[in-house]
Amino acid sequence: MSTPETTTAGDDTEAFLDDLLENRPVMYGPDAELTGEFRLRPRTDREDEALAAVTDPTDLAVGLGRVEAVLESSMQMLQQISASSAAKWGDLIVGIYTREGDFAVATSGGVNMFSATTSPVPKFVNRYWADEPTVGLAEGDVFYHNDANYGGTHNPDHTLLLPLYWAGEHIAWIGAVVHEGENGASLDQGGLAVRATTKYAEGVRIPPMKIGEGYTLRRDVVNMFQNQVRDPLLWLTDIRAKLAAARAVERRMHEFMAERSPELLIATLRSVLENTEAEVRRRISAWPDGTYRGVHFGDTTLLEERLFKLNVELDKRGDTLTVRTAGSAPAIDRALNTQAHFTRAMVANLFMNFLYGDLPRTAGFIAALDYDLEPGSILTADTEHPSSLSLTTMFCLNAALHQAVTKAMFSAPGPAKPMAPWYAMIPTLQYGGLTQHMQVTANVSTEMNAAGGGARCDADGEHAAGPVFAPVSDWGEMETRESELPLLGLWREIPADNHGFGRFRGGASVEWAYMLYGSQMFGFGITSMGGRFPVTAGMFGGYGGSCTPLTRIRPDGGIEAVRAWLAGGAKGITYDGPSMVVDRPLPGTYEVGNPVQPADPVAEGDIWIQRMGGGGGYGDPLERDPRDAMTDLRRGLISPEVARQVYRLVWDPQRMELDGAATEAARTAERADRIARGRRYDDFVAGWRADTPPEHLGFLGAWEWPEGQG
Amino acid sequence: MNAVRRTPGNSPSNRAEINVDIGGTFTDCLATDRDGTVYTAKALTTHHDLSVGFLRAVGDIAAAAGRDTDELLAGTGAIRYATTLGTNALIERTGPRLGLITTRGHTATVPIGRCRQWADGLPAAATRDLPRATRPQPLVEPERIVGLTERIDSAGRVVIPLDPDEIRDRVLDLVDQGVRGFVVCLLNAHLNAAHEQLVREIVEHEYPDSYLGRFPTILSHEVSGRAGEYARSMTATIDAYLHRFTADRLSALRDELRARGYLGELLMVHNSGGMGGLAGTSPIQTVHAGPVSGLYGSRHIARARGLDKIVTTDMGGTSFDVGIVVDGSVRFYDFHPVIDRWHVQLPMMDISAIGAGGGSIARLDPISGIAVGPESAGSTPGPACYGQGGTEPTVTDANLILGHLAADTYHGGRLPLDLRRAERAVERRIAGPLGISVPEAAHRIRRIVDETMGAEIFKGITTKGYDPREFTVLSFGGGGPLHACGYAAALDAREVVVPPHSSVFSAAGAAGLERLHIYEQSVWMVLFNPLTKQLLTDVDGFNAIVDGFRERALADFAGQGHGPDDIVTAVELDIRALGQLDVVTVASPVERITGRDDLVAVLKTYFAEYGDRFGDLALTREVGVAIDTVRVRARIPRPAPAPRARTADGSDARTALRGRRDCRWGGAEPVTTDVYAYPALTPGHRIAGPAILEAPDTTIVVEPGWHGELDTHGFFRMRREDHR
Repeated sequence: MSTPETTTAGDDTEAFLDDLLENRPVMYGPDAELTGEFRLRPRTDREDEALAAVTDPTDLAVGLGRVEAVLESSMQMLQQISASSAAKWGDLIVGIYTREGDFAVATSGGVNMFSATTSPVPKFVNRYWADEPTVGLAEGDVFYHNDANYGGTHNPDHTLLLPLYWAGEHIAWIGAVVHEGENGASLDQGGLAVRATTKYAEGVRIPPMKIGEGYTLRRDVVNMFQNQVRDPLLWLTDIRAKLAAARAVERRMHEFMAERSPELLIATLRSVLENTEAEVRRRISAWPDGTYRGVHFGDTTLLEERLFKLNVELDKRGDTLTVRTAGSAPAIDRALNTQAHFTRAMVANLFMNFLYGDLPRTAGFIAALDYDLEPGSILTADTEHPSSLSLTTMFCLNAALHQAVTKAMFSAPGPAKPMAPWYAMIPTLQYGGLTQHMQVTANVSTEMNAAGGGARCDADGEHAAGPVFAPVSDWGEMETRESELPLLGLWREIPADNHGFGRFRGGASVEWAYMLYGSQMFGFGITSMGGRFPVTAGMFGGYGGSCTPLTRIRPDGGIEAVRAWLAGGAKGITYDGPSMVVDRPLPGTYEVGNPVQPADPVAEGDIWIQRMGGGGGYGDPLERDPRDAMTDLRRGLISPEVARQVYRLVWDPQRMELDGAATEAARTAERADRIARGRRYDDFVAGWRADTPPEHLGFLGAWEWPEGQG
Repeated sequence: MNAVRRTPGNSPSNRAEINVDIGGTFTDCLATDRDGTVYTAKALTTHHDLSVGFLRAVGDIAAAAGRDTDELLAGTGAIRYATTLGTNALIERTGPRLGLITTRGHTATVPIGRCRQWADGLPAAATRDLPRATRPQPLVEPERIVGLTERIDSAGRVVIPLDPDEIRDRVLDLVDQGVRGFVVCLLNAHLNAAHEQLVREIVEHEYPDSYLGRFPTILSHEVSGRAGEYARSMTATIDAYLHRFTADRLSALRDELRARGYLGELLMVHNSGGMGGLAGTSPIQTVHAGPVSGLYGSRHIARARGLDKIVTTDMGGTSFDVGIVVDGSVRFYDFHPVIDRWHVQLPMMDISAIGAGGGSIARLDPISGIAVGPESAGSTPGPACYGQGGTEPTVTDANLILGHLAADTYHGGRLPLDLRRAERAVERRIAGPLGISVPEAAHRIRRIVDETMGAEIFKGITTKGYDPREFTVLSFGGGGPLHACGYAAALDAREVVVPPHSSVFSAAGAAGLERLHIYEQSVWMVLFNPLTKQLLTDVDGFNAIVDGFRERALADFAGQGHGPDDIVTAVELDIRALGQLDVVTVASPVERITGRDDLVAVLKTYFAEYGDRFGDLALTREVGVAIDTVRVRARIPRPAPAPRARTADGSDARTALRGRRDCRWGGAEPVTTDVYAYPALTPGHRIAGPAILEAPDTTIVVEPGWHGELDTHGFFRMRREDHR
């Protein structure tokens, strides 16, 4: 019998256990440290060396100009060759990250917030795959990602990454990000999983992974992706398109480094990040110190009507601006949840597109701010929550954010223009099926790009001028759409009262009406909010936007009855949803509800009518120049009721001419009435305040401000 | 205005030719007399009556040739005429009050302008600023847009018939608002024009000429056969907007010329790169015709000099225009151009512009240190050194400080510059705040603007799928040759060429134009569908479109005195992969499709062009492709004017040396630099940089490390010493 050897807990044992317990993860899941990182990485030695090598500061400007030109050129190329309808009209970006993974320079067009939220993706590759023997990192490797738990916005946004090398040195990362219109969700086509209650119903979820080497895509990997989705052609085309765009950037950057130096590129990327952060801080420091609040609400969980609260508090001290969200709705088992990195990116989006559009789009924006985001809320989802429609929550948050920011900066000098919130929602048609050309397709339509602009401190908002997340976007043309898809676009008109009223009114948007036409195998869907509670808020006495419910008409007798009605001159057609519902010129079933419908098959001849919303108004409507209000009335932008009740306008209805004196008298009378209706503040609070939400109202979120802020 | 320049010739002809480019400020004229002598002249443009400035320039040339104006005109065989005045009419909104009649339910199409209208035609920096997004003043006010209850579907079938009584009511509404012209754009009218034609019939019946005068009813399908109701509406609208300009002012010019003895046709330069008679020119074709004429002239230079890839650069006071010419390619066309602030549908030679010129203002920038443009001091007050009240530092001020411009020879000495004011502006705005010397600040300003222009060229070339290093830079305009070495270096381009007659280069370009008609039709013809394994089925439909266009070309050219044997046609196809929106335009290898071989030839051409443009990585053959547009280009070929060779006289370039002055080239100390009189150079003269070459209308800078040589055709060609 042998005696067991005596062992002691030495270094080998600890190393063994460490390895056993810590270094062998079941899977490489999302890394909270990486997704939680919003500051710039500290300068590396190589970056210090590169910056020291640049003796002429003009060289940095030259470097930035070249990088931006290369990216713009590649983004244009990507738009031309992408099959994603969203990309074609502006929902994409091309950019370059530092070697450490900070998003350093993005195209000025496209979706700016991608530059604020995709940095965790290359950082993940650096941390987990670069030294992993079965993966590795080398020149020519192609990485792909769409799972928002690892970074990015939501799963339909796909990121392709190429490491940029020079003479064997890893210099930077090149990224191409595109919103893809189909993501293989189990129940919902089109990428946005309305019915998902877990993340497992949201379709393909790709953590950062290598999908090719030597610039060659692994066809079996791409095939696996294609096998999960309804539109495999879209995926094939667009993965290749993104790779081609990234490769074009790589080639031009190689030329640049050969012509100048790799140090100049490294120094350019670092300096633009640091300069952007410093400049945002400098500008914020000019705002008055204080606490500024905004609150807004979403009106559906996608599966039921609920008001959910989005609470914003900005605390500004010196050059530090802290964004707090305490009191916002809790995370839920609906696809509305948002990862914290997307919430931060939405803040950055506001700063990029509405405050400091002159600065480059970089991770320097989010790095310049501080965040205190309440854990467990709908704005700080954990990795198990479904989130493919997080963007709708973000759009509601945008109204609260923009209100708070405008309050904070309206008196500060600088390039930013105080304004009311822009309309931020996407009540757009999602569709899929077999076209009249026997082509399988699944995608989203681009009416989402027709958002009305918020009123400005000195001018009306612009009508249908683009979404909050992509400054120059396009909704295409009806003839082109009809030639490609089985649709008849009955109208896209600006209806009356579809904007926020005010001294300066918000920009209006359109109501669209599509009929399925030429296919029996096609589905429509829509995923949005604002059917009950308006998406857009007003500012300083200006009105918010209007509600935008979905109207669906299923004609009796199907398509043949519709054809006959149209051929007979479409008697009674009003080209306006509400009056169609009232008049019912086409016999059938009329339904009005929230703009949330899964993309399910519809019958040929079915008509869907939906409004995009307008921007918020700025200032008291009684201060609006009566001549401008009269022009609005003449042009059908406001109804006679609004002209009378809101603007107190008096006019000759026959000649449609303003009666200036009578209008002034009416306004004076209304001001006197306001005073008469006024109450002492304490009386108002006593009458207004309730300790709980009304019983009939489904409500999510804190009812009161956190203690000390009430 | 300026002295006429005369260049002896050796290519006699029976008739003289006159080419003119009427710009916003100057009317440039280049005439070739019967003995081949080339004359160039400039006169101020006379906006009240274009013929005055034009005839003044012609008169100067006639005097230089020893004849009177009428004699010269009577002996002239062709007058080719390019103008930018259409553009000015648009910018100044001096057109008539128009009414737009469209399909009911789509009256917001034009006011919304695809959502992005507010950004169309703006510099990139301005498109980043959503809070300041503001649409341009419309050409048709929203009150004057009316809808008709009618509908045609995407197959051209009538879905909702059109009621004539409704047309009468809506037209009356517009007439009551005082409109002086109608634009009609109904959905899918490019596929079925019956409804648009009905509108015209009723307008003409209800409101004959005696009521409305000569104001037009423009039908959209007649100005464009392509899909896209917004761009087609704007194409028709601009056509109507400029109608009076063409009908009145150009007709008056033609009549004046006839009265003075000119018996030929007034040939209008088109923005397509062709030309046509006044009757065969739609007004929108004249917009941007001047710059296009210059670009087209570059094609001849490219061919004659054996250069297959050229980028043209024209730097003026406020803007920098870039065009690309690649022999045998159609990529230098923009089929969706923006005119002023409006997207339109017509094939136009592609010229992009950025705000970078002599008057561009330099300022501090938090990110890049210094930024230059797009804000410009313009000509009033102009750069600080003009001494006209300008206080902002500009590119011209920087050039003066660096010695690249001289205070006493600018614009031939007609505009003395004030160095002290330039230095003060640069010190106050740039050098002082940055803590650097004034010359150092001026040097940085120059580098930034050179790099900005280089980046714009880079974008223009790479977006079209080419390698910038393969291009020769053709530089003209007042400021181009002054900066050409700088922006060519930023581009790593192989050569810079300053052409002869560069100050009237657009007029010179018109000399080589041909009569050209382009016909287009949007279609949806699937060439192959991988899902159904189907090849193009409607071969007859395709051939019918091509045949129809050929017949139209025969008819159109017959009216101009040309028979079938004179006409050369070529078919171009816009093709797109299924699911993509953008198209790739290819020169079709066959004019008609008669079998599978022809189909395969078209597909191979498309795949090759796609791969060449975007890279083979982007090519997804599996998705199927469709023809989006069929286009036929019909022209009457004519020999391009042969460049006239001069022989080298063996002299040394120092015969043209006029002096030396201190210039700064980036070092701490100034360098004494040779200054030459450019007109005194003769073929074979070779000059090593650094050097300055001064001409009355431009300055050529040969930077250190470059050398330049005047060739036998009058082209000054500059190369970098160390270039591959």
